[in-house]
Amino acid sequence: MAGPTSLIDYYIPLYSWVREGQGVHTRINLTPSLFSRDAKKRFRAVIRLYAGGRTAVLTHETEELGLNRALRLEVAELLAKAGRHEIDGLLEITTYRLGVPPDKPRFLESWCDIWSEDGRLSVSIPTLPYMGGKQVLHSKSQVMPGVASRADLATWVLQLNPTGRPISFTLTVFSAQGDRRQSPRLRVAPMGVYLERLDRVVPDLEAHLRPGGGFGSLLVEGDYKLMGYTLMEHLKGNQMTCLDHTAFFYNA
Amino acid sequence: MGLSRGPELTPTASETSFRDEVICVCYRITGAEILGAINEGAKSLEDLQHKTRVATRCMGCEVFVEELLAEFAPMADGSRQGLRRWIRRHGTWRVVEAVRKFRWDLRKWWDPTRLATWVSEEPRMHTRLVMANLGLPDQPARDAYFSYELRDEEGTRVHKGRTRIRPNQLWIAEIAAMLREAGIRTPWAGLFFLELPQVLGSRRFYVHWYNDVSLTSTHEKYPVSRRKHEGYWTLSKVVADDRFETHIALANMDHRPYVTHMVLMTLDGQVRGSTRVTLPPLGSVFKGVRDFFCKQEPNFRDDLVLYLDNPIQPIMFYYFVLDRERGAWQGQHL
Repeated sequence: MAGPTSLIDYYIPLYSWVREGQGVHTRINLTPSLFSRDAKKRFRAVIRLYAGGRTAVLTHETEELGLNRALRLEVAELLAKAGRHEIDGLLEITTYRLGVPPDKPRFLESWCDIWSEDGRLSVSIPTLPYMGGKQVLHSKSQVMPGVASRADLATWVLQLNPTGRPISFTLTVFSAQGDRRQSPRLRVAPMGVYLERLDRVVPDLEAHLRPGGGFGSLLVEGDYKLMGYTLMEHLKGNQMTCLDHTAFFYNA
Repeated sequence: MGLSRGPELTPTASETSFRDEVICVCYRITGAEILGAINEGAKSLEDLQHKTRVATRCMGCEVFVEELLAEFAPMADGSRQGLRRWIRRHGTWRVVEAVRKFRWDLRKWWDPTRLATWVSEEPRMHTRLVMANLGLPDQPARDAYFSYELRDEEGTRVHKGRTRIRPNQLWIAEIAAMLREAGIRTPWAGLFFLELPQVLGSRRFYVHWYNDVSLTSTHEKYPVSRRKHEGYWTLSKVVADDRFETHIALANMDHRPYVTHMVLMTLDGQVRGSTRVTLPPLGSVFKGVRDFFCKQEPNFRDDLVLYLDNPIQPIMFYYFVLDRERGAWQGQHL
C-alpha cells in the first residue's frame, strides 16, 4: 500500500460506530470538500474496521478524493472482501493528502448512515476525532439531557472505546427533580462498542423518571474518556431515528 | 495609518470610520473583519492570517495588523482578567474610547454564553427543549439563570423570558407552550436563543423534534462567527421521492443578512442544480429539497451530495428526512 512517508503526513484519525449484518447496514460518506475549496488538493483515506480487538479486521485504502470527488462506501462490500458478513464495532478513518503534509483542520469530517432493511432504524452519525482535534468529546464526564424511559420512548446508550485498553464507566440518571439512580460499573472492550438500553442497566428507571414526564438527564463518568452517544427509540411508532453525541463538561 | 494612542489622539472622522476602511487592499479586508477576528480569539498574526487572509500577499498591512493585535488581543479574550490587564496598561479612559470607536460589546466581560437552535411547531413536528444542570463531585452545580427569546423566520423577536434551573434538575420546555403564552398561532418556525451568564459546565440544551411515531434529537449550537472551515458544508443524504424527502433548516444567527449558494452535485462532481439562499438577520427557513431547487433535479438519485457555501458567518444547518409512509422524521445537525 503506497502511503505517507512519516506520521506527520497523516491527519488525525476519526472514529465512528459501524454495524453490518442481520438486516442492518452502514454506509460511509467521505466528502473532502467540507474542508477544502482547492480543487488541486487530493486526498486518500485508509479505512479500518475493528470488532473488539486491537487488530483491524479490515483495512481498505480509498481511491483519490478531492473537492469535486466524494465517495460512498458500503460496509457490506468492504466486509465481503475480507470474507466477513457481520460487524458491530468501530470504524477508523485516517486521511492523508497526496504529496503535501496536512493543513488545518487536521481531519476530514465524514458521516456514517446506519439503517435497517425493515425501516425501523435510520440514523446518521458523524465521525469524530478522539484526541487532538475538534474538542467535542474531550472529558471523562459526559452529559445527555432528555434521556427517556416511558411507555412510548426508550433511550439506548452507545459508548465507543478507540483505545487499546478496556475502559470502565457508570451511568447516572437524574430525574427532572434532581434525584439520582446509578448503574453498576460497566466496561467497554479495547477498540470496542458498548450498546445497551438504559432501563436495562439502571434499575427501576421508568418509575424514577415518571415525575418529569419520563425525561431525565444522563451523566456518564468513565475512568478514561469515551466517545458517547444516545439513541432514542420510539416504541409506539416502532422507530429509531435519533442518534447524537453526548455533551462534555465544558469547564471540567 | 496608525492607531490612536494617548489623550491627544481623540478619534477623528477618518478613524471613526475605521471599521469600514479597507486595511488589506489585496483581499479587500476591512478593519471590522480584523477586529471581529481578534474579538473571536485571534491572538497572533498567524491566527489572523488563517481566519481572514490579511497580511498573506503583499504584506503591506502586516505592521498595522500587528499593532492592532498588540493593542486589542489582550483585551479581547473575554475574561475579566484580560480586561483588567488591558486597563492597567492603557487606562480606563481607553475603554470608553474603544467602546465608542470599535463598538466593543461590553456584555462579553460578563461572560454570557449564547446558544441557539431552530425550532418548529406544526401538526407533523413539535419541538421540546431539554437542558441539564448537573454537577460533578469536584465541581458541584450552582443555580443556573438564563434568559431566552424566540425569533420568527424574519428574525423579529416574538417572545422572551427568564428562568432558573436548580442543581441537578432538568429544564423541559415545549415550544408550543411558549407560543401559546406569546399569543402566536401555529404552525410556526424560527430561532430559539438562550443566553447564560455563567460557564457552561453541563448546561447544554438538546432539542427533541417529535410527533406521535418518532422522535429525533440533536444539540444546539454556539452562534460564533469564526471561519472554522474553508470548504463547504456537505450533506450526503439527499433524497426526494414518493416516500422520502430531505428537508433543510437553515438559521442565520448573525445580525447581518446571510447569503449563500446551495449546489447539488454527483459524486464525481457534475452539477445537477444550484440555488441562492438569502436569510434576513436572525432569520431562518425550512423547506424540502425539491422546493429549494425548484424541481431543477427531478430525479434525486442516490449519488447526490448537497454543498452549502460556508462564508464567515454564524449559521446553523440541520437536515430532516421525512418518511411519509411511516410519518417519521430523522434529523441531524451538520
